Amino acid sequence: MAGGGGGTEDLNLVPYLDIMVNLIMFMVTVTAYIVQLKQAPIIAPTYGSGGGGGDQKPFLTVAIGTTQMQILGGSSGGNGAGGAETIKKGDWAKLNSRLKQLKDTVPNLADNLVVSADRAVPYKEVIKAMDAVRLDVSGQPLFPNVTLATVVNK
Amino acid sequence: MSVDAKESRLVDDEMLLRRRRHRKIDGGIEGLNLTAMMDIMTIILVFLIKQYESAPDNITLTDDLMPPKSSTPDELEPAVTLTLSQGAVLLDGIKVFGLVNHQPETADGWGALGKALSVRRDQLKMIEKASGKPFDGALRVIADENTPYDTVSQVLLQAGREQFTKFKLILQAGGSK
Repeated sequence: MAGGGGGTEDLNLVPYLDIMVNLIMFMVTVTAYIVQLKQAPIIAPTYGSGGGGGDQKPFLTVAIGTTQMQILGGSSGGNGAGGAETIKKGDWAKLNSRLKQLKDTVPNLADNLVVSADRAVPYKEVIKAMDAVRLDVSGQPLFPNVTLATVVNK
Repeated sequence: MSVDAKESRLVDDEMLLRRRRHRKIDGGIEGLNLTAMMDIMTIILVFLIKQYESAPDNITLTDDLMPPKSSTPDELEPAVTLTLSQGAVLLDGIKVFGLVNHQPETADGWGALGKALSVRRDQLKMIEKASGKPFDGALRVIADENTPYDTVSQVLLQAGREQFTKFKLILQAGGSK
């Protein structure tokens, strides 16, 4: 059937090859522009009535202001994590090392850490703070569970 | 053309034909063999298609919607998607309302988002009843990196009120600690 009355010829692969080359070029270009996305799970503050007021593990809050950050301690037992410490905003390494110190020294410290921020603080700075508290410098989990505090309009 | 020339031409043609036949018998190369190249191309194409397939859902990033970079290692999981760009709030790709200076342009304010989320939650609960697929309250939040925390917080607050409590912030890979 190939040709007008001529004998049977081999399949002409050249057009197929052209299509393949174009497809591969397209796929390579498209995949180069795909941005790899990841997800960071966060814990939302719970709603509803409180529990029985039992002992709560001491926990830390990282508050991000417009010019500085603070590590705030909180506990029902007041066993060492209380107080506040100010760190220059953007000094994520110092925040990380200070949290590591606190985790090593304060007994029974909760794995959960609360991140709070001023209304005007850009979202990317909150994410940087979350990255800074997730792992220590050796790659070990520091505070893997982050609760984002919400701002309630009055 | 003389007779000698004709004869010599015939001899040449015959030799050429013999050579060709000889080559075929020996299995020699006759022209470029494209079959092997086609095989390579097909393998590359299948590899690229599989790679593209494993890429996350089509989330189109623009200057208006550029999530911050993060070092989080977790891969994306399917969930209801709430997009918070500089100019609008979208729920599963459908615009809920526009934003002006990161605040809702509608009279309902953030309550309009709460309504949209409650409708979506009811749909998912109906699916739960019909198919048994449980409603887990998972919500993926994609926000622009320059969105003020107040706006992100309002979104989380509305979502939490509508029983979406498993938040997953969608971020760009490649951030440094």
